[in-house]
Order: sequence, then structure tokens, then C-alpha cells
Amino acid sequence: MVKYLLRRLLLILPTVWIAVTIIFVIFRLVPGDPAELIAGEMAPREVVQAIRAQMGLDQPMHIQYVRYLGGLLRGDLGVSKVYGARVLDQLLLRFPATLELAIAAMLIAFIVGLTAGIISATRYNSLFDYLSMLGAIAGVCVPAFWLGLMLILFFSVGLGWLPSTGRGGLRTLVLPAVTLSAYQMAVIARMTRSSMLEVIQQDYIRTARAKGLTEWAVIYGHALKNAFIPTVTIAGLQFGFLLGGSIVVESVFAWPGLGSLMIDSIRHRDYTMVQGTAVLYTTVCLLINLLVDLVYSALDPRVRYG
Amino acid sequence: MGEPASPGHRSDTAKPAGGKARGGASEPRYTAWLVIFGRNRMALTGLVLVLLFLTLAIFAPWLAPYDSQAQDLSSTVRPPSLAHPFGTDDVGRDILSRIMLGARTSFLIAVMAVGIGLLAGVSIGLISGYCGGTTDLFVMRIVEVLQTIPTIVLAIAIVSVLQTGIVSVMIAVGVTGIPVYARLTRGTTLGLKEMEYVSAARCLGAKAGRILWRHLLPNALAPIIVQTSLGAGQAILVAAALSFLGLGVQPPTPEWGAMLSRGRTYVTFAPHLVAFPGLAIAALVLGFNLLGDGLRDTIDPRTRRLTEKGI
Repeated sequence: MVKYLLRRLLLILPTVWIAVTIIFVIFRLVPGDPAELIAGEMAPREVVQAIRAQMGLDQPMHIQYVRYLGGLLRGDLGVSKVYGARVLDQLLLRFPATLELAIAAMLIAFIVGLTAGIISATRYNSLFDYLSMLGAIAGVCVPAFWLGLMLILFFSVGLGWLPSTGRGGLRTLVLPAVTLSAYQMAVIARMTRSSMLEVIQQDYIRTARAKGLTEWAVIYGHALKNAFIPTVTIAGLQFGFLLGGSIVVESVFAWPGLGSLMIDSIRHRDYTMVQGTAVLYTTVCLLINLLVDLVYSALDPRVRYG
Repeated sequence: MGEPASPGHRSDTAKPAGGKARGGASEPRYTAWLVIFGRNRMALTGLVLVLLFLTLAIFAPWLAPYDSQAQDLSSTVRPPSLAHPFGTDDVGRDILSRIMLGARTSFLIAVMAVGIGLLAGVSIGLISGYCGGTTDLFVMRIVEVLQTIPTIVLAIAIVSVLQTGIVSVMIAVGVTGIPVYARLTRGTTLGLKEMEYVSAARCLGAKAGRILWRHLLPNALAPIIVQTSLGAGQAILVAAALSFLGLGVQPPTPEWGAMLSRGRTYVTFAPHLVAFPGLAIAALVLGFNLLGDGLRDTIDPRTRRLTEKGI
């Protein structure tokens, strides 16, 4: 296990390097002069040149790249022109809000999706099965920003039960977390149902039933344990996309996380901040994928010996 | 020099006697697929939805009851009525007409974005899978990393460095689709390149380009077609999200995400401004997803068996 862990940890380094290189290339593809874009159309030539020098854009591309990588290794993602502060400091300030939202959404998705999937599989072809699978189909088709607005309309404007915007306590977390969880919930419910339906046809389930075990013990002690592995993998790998999805949800609910920061930075043409946000999102996603791999290998020993 | 005909693809150099069955053994397979697809009610529902929106997109200028950009400041934010079945927006434009024209924008983005993803992704996958070795290792590593970056983050990053507008959205959404097509094509190519007809073509002196284009690509198409339908739905969602964030299609072009974004200001007292564009997005994405699922069930015997069991 330790050998596997070390191998996976070593593999993550070149992956992160490729990811930050891709992001570097994207942000160097800006048509025209990024310094001019940042300074604005009416800015004097001296100001543009100062920005260019400050950002190191007057240097050849390979020097810019080496400096960029060197900065990253020291935790230096540059200085935001809007906030006048280090990009990393701003990102770390906003990151907990996004993480809180993502974790809450993941928990809701897991609890509801898993329960719906198990009940659907055990009551296969029942009304509940049809309704939950209908909900699952809707969950992957409905845009999160629309669902968010509809939830605000119903629970905030209509019933007045929950606040529609801002961050402060559990009540403000409910609507954005439910909105963000919808897609995951649908994926987990479908995955659990199909895995369970496959597993409950296996011989060892028949054996468990023949031994006289209760249905509860068969489903939760034997079937779910095996059906759980693909669900955990899919859910874990989707966690990164859930983080990405939070950008839109944060915009709907004025949630002060990384997503709002990224969109605000684009509006203010603060490319250093946008680039930093993209790097953080990607690195976190890669780390989560690594974590999922490790959990997966702990759940299924065939993975680490394969 | 003639080459052996690859299965599932006609060869103009190896015609069977009589020249009748140009499609060779593939024709019964396509007929069987058509029958299986025809029996799948969900897939047919998806097809009908997609065709319905496609018809709207093509004929929108003639079908729309009003000019989608004509403002009427005397009837702003009106609820649904006989004159305006979906109501009017904040500057008095007919929402039904804008949704109809918006279908055209969404289809255009979906087609172009999927086209970009297909062209680049399939080329990368074919070359990577066929060449193997260091090329494959290097290219697929980049593709895997590209896939790890969340779709919307990558799309936002690309749009932020380009000028906002419909072309930027097409490029951004298209690039996000490349990894999926590349991995899919590469996986299929890896299996296909070991087939006897490919070895035979190579022995007969066919160049790599010809083998890729004439033998590998046609036989790798089935899973790609499935992904195209699912990818179109995803493209519509991402494009709408970009427009919703103000980074996509710009006014006055009618686009569902942009309509939602503009309508959110009035959501408390005029929910129809956001309800209808959202339903339009969901319906078209549902159509593409059902169609994609149906095509996959038709083409892939493994998932077909599961579907027949209700799994």
C-alpha cells in the first residue's frame, strides 16, 4: 500500500506541471497585448509599458514560463491589479467558502442519491423507481443556474423559508448546496441503482439469502458493499466537476467563493487572478482524483496490485 | 493496388461480384440497429425532441410570431397571454419568438463546438492510438490532464482570453470536448489496429494516412456518434452557463442562457422571464441525452442487454 501511495504521489507532480503549463499557454494566447487589455484602451503608453514590465511580458516566452513555474514553486501566483494583494492570499481567503459549498453539496448528493438508488433497485419497476429515475434524468438535463433561480423563487420569495443570497450559517447554505448537488445526486442515484441491480443477481447474494439472512443484511451487508465501489469512484471523480459547477451556483446565490472571484476578475480583466483561480481549481481537482484513487485502492485491493 | 475491405466500411477497390452489396456485411448490422432503435421509446422521444428544436431552429424567422429583437416599451414584462404565449421581457420583446430564435443560436453553438471537438479529438485519438509508443504516452498524458480541468473552468479560461461572443463560445466549448473524443477514438483505435484487415492493408503498402482514414476511422465511428449526441447536450449546457455568466453570446442575439441572465433581475415578480428559457434548455439537453443513450444502447450489445433488463 505504501509503495502504491508513493507511486501515485510521484505521478501527481508531472500531472500538475502539465496542467499549469496548459493554463499558462491558454493565458499567453490572449489576442493582442494583455498589458493593454489590463490598462484599458485609453491608458497612456507609459502605463502599458509599466504593466508589461511588472508582469514580465517584456521578456521572451520561455523566460516568462520559467519565472511563472519558479513563482508557483514559491507559492507566488502574482499580484492582483484589482485587490492590490497577492493572488494566493485572495484565493486562500475565498477557498473555504467554495469548499464548504462543495462538501455540503457532495454530502446531500451522496445521502439522497444513494438512498434513492438503493430503494429503486430493491423496488425495481415500482412507482418510486420510475419517479426517482425521472428525477435523475431531469437532474442531468436541468441547468444548475435555472434550478437555483427556481428554488429562490419557491423557497425564498414564495415561502420565505430560506435566504436567497449571501453566506452566513446553515440557512444560507441550503439552497446553493441543493442546487449544486442536483447533477451529482442524479449521477449517484443512477449509478447505485444499476450497480445494485447487477450485484443482486450474483450467486453470493443468492447464497446469502439461502443462508437465511434478513433482507436488510443481504442488501446492506453484501450487495451495497460491492455496489458501492463504482459509485464511490464516479462520485469522487465528479467532485472536481462539482467544484467547477460551483462557479455558476456562486454567481446565482452571490456566494463569496472562488467562482465569484473568478467571474469578478474576468469582468475587471484581472488576468493574474483568473489564471491563479484556474490553477487552484485544477490542482484541487487533481488532488481529489488522487484521493479517490487511494480510497478506491483501499476499498478494492485488486486496484493496487493490478 | 487493391486493399481488403474493412468491416463496416465499403471499399471501392474490393467490390463483391455483381456490385450489389457495396456495404457488404455491414448492411444487415445497420438494419438491425435501426430496428433496435425503433423499439426504444426513450430514444425515439429524444429524437423527436431534437428534431422539433431543429425544425424551430431552421424555420424560426418564419415561425416566430414577432420580430425577436423588436422592442415594445408599452408592454414590458407582461405575463403569458394569448398575444404573447410566453409573455414579454423587460423591453417588451416576445419571449416565445426569442426562444425560437434562441434554438438557432444553441444549435449553431452545439454543432460548431461538437465539430471542433470531433475534428481535433478524433484526429488526436486516431494518431495517438495508431502510432502508440512515446507519441501515445505524451499525447494522452496531456489529454488526460486537460480532462481533469473542470469543463466550465477551462471554458471560462478560454473565453476570458478571447473576445466575448458566439465564436469564442464555440471555440471554448469545442476545446473542452476534445479530451473525450480523443480518449474514445484512441481506445477504439488501439483495438482496431491489431485487426487482420489493417495488417493486410499495411502489407499491401497502404500508407498510414490511408489506413487511418479508410480503415480505422469508419470502424471507430459508432461510439463517436453516440458521444456526439451526448456532447451536443453538454455543449448547450456549458454555452448557456457561459452566457448566463455574461461571458458568452452578447445581446441582442437571442440565446437562452443570456435570456435567463437578463431575466433573473425580474425573477421575483416575473418568473416567466426565466422559466421558459430554462425549460427550453432542459428539453433540448434531455432530447440529446435520450438520443445519445438510445444510440449507445443500440450500438453497444452490453448496455443493450442491461437496458433490456431495465438496468
